[in-house]
Amino acid sequence: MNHSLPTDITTLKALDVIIDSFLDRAVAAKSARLKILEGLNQLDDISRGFDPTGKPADKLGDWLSDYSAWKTDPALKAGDRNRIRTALGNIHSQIGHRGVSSPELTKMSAEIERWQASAGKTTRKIVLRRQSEVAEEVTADTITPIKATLSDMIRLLEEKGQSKGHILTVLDDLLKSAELQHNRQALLLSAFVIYYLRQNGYLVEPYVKRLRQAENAQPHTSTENRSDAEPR
Amino acid sequence: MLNPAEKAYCLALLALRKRDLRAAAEQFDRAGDFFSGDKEFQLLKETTTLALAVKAEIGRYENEEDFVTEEILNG
Repeated sequence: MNHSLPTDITTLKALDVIIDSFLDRAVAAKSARLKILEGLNQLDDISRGFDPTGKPADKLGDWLSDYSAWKTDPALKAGDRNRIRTALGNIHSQIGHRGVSSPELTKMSAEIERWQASAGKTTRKIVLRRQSEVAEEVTADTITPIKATLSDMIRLLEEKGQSKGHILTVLDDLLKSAELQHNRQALLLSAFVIYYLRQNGYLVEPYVKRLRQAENAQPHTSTENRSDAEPR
Repeated sequence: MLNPAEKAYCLALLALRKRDLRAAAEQFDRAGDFFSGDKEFQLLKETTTLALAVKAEIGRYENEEDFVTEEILNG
């Protein structure tokens, strides 16, 4: 950069103001979502280090009080509610498991139960459709191949999980195998892990995208398989 | 409940809210792989990097000016 021009610093400062302003507005635009993420993050921290006899129990009391309005807040997504339910469920079972009892913990436990009850269940529905059944001419064994595939998948999970610390690292590895090596078992196992994580409140969209890419990278054995692999 | 990348993205946004660009950039880096396909994430991450670079350049410029002023005053 040429520093001899006196206008350089003026331009840089003007650019600095514009960028700061952009970032401020971008964060402000996400403020409602950020407040939710902040609350989820706090609860996550509490649930990870929860000790019924320690400070986290006090933090939980504060959290339940600060975020009591969330029980009925429509701004929370179904996934957020699932995450909260999972974390509170973990904490609740920790309280029960340790057998620690105090008026505060009993109160918190009751509050968690009220939370779980009032938050309700997610209303998201999955509609499964399939074409009308056509009787097969030959009665083939359709169970054994699935059992064999499941056994292979368990072996693969054990193999990949041996050196990996977290399921997300295993999933990353599986998706690479599925896409680059066209490993069908890895593809099926990735789909299973993604669905499992989604059920447990993880955000899985980036992995779903990669699963589709891996699916499209598979060699296609029939027209039927090809149409199933197309993104919908 | 939150995976490490989601946690990092959340902390990056909280750091941006406090205008702590360096902390935000570090958290964006941690979340980078997981959100590599997320355009909004990429925009915020790259803008934060740009903001840091511009501020560093301004700092460098001002230091140079101070040095020149000192040279003139002290001979």
